[in-house]
Amino acid sequence: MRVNGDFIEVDCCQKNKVGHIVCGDTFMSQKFKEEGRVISVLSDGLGSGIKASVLSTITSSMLLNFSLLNEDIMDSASSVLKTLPQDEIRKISYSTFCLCEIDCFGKVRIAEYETPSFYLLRNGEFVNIQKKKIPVEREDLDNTHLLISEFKMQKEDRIIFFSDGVSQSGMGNLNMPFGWEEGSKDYISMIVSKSPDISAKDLSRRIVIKAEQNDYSVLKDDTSCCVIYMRKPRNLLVCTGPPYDEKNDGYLSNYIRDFQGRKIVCGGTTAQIISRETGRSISTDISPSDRELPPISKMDGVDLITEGILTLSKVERILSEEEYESKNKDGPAEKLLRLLADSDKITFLVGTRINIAHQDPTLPIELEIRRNVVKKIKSLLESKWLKDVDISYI
Amino acid sequence: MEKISLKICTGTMCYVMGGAELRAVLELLPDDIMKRISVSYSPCMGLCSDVGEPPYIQVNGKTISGVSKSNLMQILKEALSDAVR
Repeated sequence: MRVNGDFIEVDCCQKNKVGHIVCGDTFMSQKFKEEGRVISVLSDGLGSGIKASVLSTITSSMLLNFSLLNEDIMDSASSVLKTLPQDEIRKISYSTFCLCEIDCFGKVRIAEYETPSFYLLRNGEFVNIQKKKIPVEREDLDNTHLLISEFKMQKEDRIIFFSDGVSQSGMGNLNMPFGWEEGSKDYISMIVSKSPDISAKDLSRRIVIKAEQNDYSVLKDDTSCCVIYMRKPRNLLVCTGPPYDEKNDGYLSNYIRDFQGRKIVCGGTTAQIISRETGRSISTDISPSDRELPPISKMDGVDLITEGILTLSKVERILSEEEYESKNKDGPAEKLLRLLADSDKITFLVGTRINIAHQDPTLPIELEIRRNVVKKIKSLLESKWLKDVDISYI
Repeated sequence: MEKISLKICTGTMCYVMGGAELRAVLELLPDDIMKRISVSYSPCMGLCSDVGEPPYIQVNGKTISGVSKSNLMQILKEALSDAVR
């Protein structure tokens, strides 16, 4: 999602309490492209396991759906808070949450309920945001309130929020008897000062892994960390397919040359066109990285060259899977996916010339139409990874 | 002894129509034969819309179509014996 030309990267890393097959925390995030809004919710269900997961899922999805209807963040949060059931024994509500909304002008509103406080990291310093305490009336719960924060997000700002699995990790250890609430700030500062460009994805993973280490690799609670990072977008160009009109071959090669960002070419013919137009040679890497797909090629000025439709179809297949266990980390589809994951603004330049040979019905496998596969990838990248994707045809 | 050059197309059509298996055949050949073959791959030779059937290879610059695992051996044998002559 882009706000005033800057990109907002949202990512969350989660690990389950040891011995549990599901996470009792639920994270949901959605961008509303037309309105330029990003909503992210992290909810922690009471206890752990399936019960906690169901509770936190209900809470997160309700908050997200209220926000979808353009309800004010405070109204959505207090409505959910009023409906949350109470635990009979512990007399506390069933789940806690942190709801964060960023609008198209970079204005941030955060509603927190019984969750560890979020951090705002700006220029290497943690900024203290004044929070408004809004009481919510509930007969069965005393002293129930929401904490509302409002501020304007600036470029290079990071918002970090997590479940108590992070802040209470290591509790009782000699070096952190009260948990990791304060220590986490030092750790985050250290990571960001060492790698100032660290992505939201990497930072959230580092925090969760450190929390796990605090618990000596035996997590005592479900642990989730969400990072929202506003920065200059990292651009990626994916060219696939030869132009409909051969006269545009030069245009395609100039477009790739002049593009500011990383570049991928998917398709043997497309790669040959660029090689011919630029006079640069192509070498094909013969190491067998993935037997399902033709090998990767190399050319100066292009970050990755793969085969076209088979590779894109595999990328689409992996993206649509819930969880993917990669067997070939250096396979063409995996390399392409890594570049897609590390980019914010992705442009597909799709050539529309039809390869007659691909239309043969006697072919042993189904070769999808390039345009359809790219459209599916765009939709998956937008919905699953919140990427900003454009498709142009040539 | 002069080496023979073998270029294998790894374009979509060639790969799907059996080109993927050609690489496996080469891995089975003994080292003393492989030493006499200079193997390279092309992302696409652009021949699949021409007459002939994929997969395509080039042996010493000569294009051969419809190559399979079995006839690749024969093609290589002939090319190697020609090189000895």
